[in-house]
Amino acid sequence: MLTLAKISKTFGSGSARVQAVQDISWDLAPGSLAVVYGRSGSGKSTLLMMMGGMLTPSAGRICFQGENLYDGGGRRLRLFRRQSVGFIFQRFHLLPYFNIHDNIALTLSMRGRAPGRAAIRQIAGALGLADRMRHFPSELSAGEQQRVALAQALAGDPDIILADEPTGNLDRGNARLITGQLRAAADAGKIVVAATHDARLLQAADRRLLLEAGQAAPDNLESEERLCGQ
Amino acid sequence: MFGKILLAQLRHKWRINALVFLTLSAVITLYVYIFNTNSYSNRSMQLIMKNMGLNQLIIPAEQDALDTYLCTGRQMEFPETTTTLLARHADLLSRYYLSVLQQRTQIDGQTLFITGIRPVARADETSEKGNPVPPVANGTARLGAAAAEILAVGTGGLFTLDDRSFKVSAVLPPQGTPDDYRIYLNLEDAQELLDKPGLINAIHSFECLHVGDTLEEIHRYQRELLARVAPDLKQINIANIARGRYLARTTTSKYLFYLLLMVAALSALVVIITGCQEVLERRYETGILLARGAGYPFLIGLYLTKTLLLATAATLVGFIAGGQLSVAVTAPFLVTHTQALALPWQALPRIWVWVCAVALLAELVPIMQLVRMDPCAILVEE
Repeated sequence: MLTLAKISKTFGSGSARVQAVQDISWDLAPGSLAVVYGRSGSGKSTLLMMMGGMLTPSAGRICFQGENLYDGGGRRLRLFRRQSVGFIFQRFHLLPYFNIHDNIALTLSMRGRAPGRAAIRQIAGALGLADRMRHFPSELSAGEQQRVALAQALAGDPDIILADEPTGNLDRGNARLITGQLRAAADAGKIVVAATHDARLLQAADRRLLLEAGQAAPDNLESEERLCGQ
Repeated sequence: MFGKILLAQLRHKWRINALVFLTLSAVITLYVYIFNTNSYSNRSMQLIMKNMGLNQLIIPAEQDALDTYLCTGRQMEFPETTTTLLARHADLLSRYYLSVLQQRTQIDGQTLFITGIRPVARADETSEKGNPVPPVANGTARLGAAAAEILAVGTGGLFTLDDRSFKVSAVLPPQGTPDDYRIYLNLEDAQELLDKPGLINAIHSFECLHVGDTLEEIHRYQRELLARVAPDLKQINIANIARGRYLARTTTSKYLFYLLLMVAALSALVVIITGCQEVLERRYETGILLARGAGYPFLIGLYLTKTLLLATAATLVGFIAGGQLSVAVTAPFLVTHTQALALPWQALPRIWVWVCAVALLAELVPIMQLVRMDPCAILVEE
């Protein structure tokens, strides 16, 4: 279980103070595909970063399996990021000097598991990347890079998958593939949280959270249509 | 994976690594070149000082040294085999021994010093490291400037002493000391002439100054050794010559020490500047690795290992380049012929330790910059 209890995040101070996230509470059980949606700058990415152990909340608690992530210091956060989280960044964030195989292997290696060639090929094959294993990120399209990022996240078999705009820059086919994979991961018992504007992903979600200026807003069809252009 | 990332980082953005490597290599090359040529410059100075004369007088412990200086009749005599005995002891700092038998004589109302000499070599003395005082052949004489005037004879001329005729092999330039009044003969000739077969009054020698930090320490060490080998002898050091040679040695080593500090400072500066630049350039990669759960020890390990590899490679290249450069372009006047100009391999471990220590210490500055990085801030920024 991943629990957010009255989470807030403030950046800057004085006149430059920005309240990015305010008083968000949310419980996410394994097996759920949850979606955070809202306008650009509404705090979606900040919320995801805090859930992923990369950004300390200004107030509130984020508990995973009953323990507050931010109580144990940097070492505990590193372990949490390494062992429990698969993060799919909006800008992919692949190591530029590693080919696709090595980028996926990196996740396994960080988790202390031998990066078996067959296992990596299997994950990459499921995402249509089998013939791209020796390519470098700069040689791939945005859709392919997004699939590599997903493969990286799935490879470590994490408890939580956090995806920031996973279908934002993709064509319909790639978006459908990514959505399907996220849904499958949730069905396999993982906690999957995605920040998105994609109506297809919203429709596939079990849980939805609408953010407006960092605060939770009522989630309804009107909001969905307004934000997703449908 | 550590090694894979390390190699990938060395290849990726290789220019910054090449810059560190080339700069370190260049300063090490310069240092090794100067280090190597300087040791020959030092050696040349030492040989010049050596040829200024022997710097040690060894006489019987009971002897009043003034009688030796003034060549009085109160000089004690001891067997010439004593010199051979000393020459057998390679642990003594003294070498290039010269057995001396001397006695005043009057010629045409003028005082001259009949001085029989014989160089005695140690087993470890090569012909190149020869005794600064050449031997005198039987039946010949080498004359001090004043003695030649008094005897009214020049090089190639003949003179007689107690009815024995001697041919002048050389007339020495004036020294401004009583040595100008000496008639140098072969030791055997002098012993026969003075009727003192197998005897000498003094031993001159050359004290090598390679052991100890101060001149006093070196002299004390030699005195202790001599007391063990020949307790009935004492040594008197001819201070000016010894000090000149000592200063020649210390000047070079101090110069090299300050040069080493400058090289270390320059190397540290290069590592700090390029290291900080690299940390900035690799912000994005650092953010990715931190987000994937890499710890700071892992990242610091990457930087330190890379620095160690570059420092080691630069040491090897700089050492060989500097060494070869010194072999190829050392000024001819520095070549001493006592040892071949070659790569100073014995200095390689010391240089390697220095370079690595300086580079790793300097790398701490970029590392401090690295550990202050926030992965979220980096990735959000990107």
